Amino acid sequence: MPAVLFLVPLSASLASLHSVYWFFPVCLGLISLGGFFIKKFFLLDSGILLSLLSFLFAYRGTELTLTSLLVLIVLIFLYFGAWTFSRNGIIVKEILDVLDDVPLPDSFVQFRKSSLNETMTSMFMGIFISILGFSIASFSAFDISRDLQVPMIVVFSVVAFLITYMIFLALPSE
Amino acid sequence: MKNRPLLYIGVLAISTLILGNMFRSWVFFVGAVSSISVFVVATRSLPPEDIDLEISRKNREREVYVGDEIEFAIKIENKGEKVRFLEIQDKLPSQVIVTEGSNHQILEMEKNEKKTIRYKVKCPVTGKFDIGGLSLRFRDTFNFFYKKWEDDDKTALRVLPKIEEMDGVDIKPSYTKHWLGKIKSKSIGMGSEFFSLREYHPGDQMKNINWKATARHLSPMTNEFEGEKASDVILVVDGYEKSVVGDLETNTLKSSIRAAGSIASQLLSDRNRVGLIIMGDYLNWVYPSTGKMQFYRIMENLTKFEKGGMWELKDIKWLLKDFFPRKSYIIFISPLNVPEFSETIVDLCLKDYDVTVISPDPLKIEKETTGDYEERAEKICRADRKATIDKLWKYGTVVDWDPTEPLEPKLEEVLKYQKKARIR
Repeated sequence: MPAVLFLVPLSASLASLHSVYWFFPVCLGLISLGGFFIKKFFLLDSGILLSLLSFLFAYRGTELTLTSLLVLIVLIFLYFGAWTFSRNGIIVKEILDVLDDVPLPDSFVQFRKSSLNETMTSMFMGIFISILGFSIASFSAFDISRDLQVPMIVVFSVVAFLITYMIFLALPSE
Repeated sequence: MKNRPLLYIGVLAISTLILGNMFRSWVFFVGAVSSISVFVVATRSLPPEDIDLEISRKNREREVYVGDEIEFAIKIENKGEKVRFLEIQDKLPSQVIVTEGSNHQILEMEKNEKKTIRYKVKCPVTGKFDIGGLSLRFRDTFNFFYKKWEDDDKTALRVLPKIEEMDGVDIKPSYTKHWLGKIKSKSIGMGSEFFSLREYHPGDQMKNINWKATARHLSPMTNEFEGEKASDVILVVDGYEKSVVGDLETNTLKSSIRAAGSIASQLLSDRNRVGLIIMGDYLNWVYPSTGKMQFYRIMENLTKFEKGGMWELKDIKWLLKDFFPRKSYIIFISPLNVPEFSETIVDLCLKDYDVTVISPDPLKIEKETTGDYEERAEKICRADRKATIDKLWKYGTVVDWDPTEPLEPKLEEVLKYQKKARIR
């Protein structure tokens, strides 16, 4: 698991080698690695978030092609996958640390397997929705004059915010 | 309920949108779209509206001897929708140690699925503890949402002091009472040992007629038997704070409790009436009685026995005088660290009580629990203890017991010596 937390930011750095800021993702990724080892969720979360943002920043100059789009989306979802998997890993580790010299209960082995399966399924679904969403957004901006592009982006952002807000409202509260 | 990762995703979505507008870059927009899509995917595993779990424990009350393992089983049935990530923690008191399995588990439960969580624990201290309730938490795959709730179902665990089998020990109080027991009373009565023959009297039971003797004497003769009686025995356990030596797991109080439990079990099986006085955090007593219920009463009081120092030792004297039957056999269990305790024992012996003292050696316990031990200090303490024991021997019987060894052989040895001394 720690290897995943290092390899994903490293891949992001390698993907953005053309930028002078290529080393940002891998360096900031080390924060999340440290957070995983000392079992601090805050460090893990912040490290992933900063590393991902720095990757987007370093990658921003890349020209839009199908390959670059796929590389970007896959890397973003690898970040999300590594993040989710490490968080679950810390939870299991915290539980197991309390049990001294006790063999690993079957339910944990089962959980690790199902957690990996579930994360992978969610990642593929996410990649699919992202590609679909970005394609719709790009097509909506086709053949639009440069003056209209900014308002379109603003409209798109407002719609995105609205969707986020609606999902928040839809969440069941205790 | 919303969680911190959800906040991070929100921050990521908003910041990428702002940065996208600032830098006019498609990369940030892909970031925003991906964040939102992760969010949409996560809603797939929102906590079900009706998490309907039926939780049941096998037993409401359990008993275990100190240091022994005991298994707990919790049955869970999911009567609602599928639950992907269910974290379950059975709350345990700090004194209880998990030895097998885990009280903290993560389960995935299909609709109508039944699962049983099993784990074993042991407890190094005596007492009454609550096992449970359950703390349950549902999480989604991304840890974005969780739902927490509690189940108050508990099991009361009573950790009893460990007792030794003491079949070889023959405790014989000097005074017996009129009810049947196992102590040979040197007088004619109900019993199994033949005592003498006498002429038949009307009302004698047919089974007691000695037919051979009847044939010899040509008149009916009846067997007479040695009466077997029982006695009242009071166990007095010293839990005076100043006299307790050792750590949480090995100490003189624990040894005293073990001795009291073992002796009570043996005395009750010999049909004696056994009572108990405990002097620790509080002064408590169990009035003498017989039978299995009395054993549980005594064990329950020994289980909740904790060291203390609120009570004057002289209180034992008035308690014995006013509340307990006269001419009872008293067994004191004390490490004899407090001089007042030895004085109380001497006072009782002078008042014609039949007294035996069982003293778990505090020096042996201290030696075992603390590695660092000064030889000269040990010699002084040992001399002091020997003087106390010698003094008490003049008034009653004293068993100087090494608590790291079983009590039975030592008690047997001392009682045999006492029996020989009485015959002489």
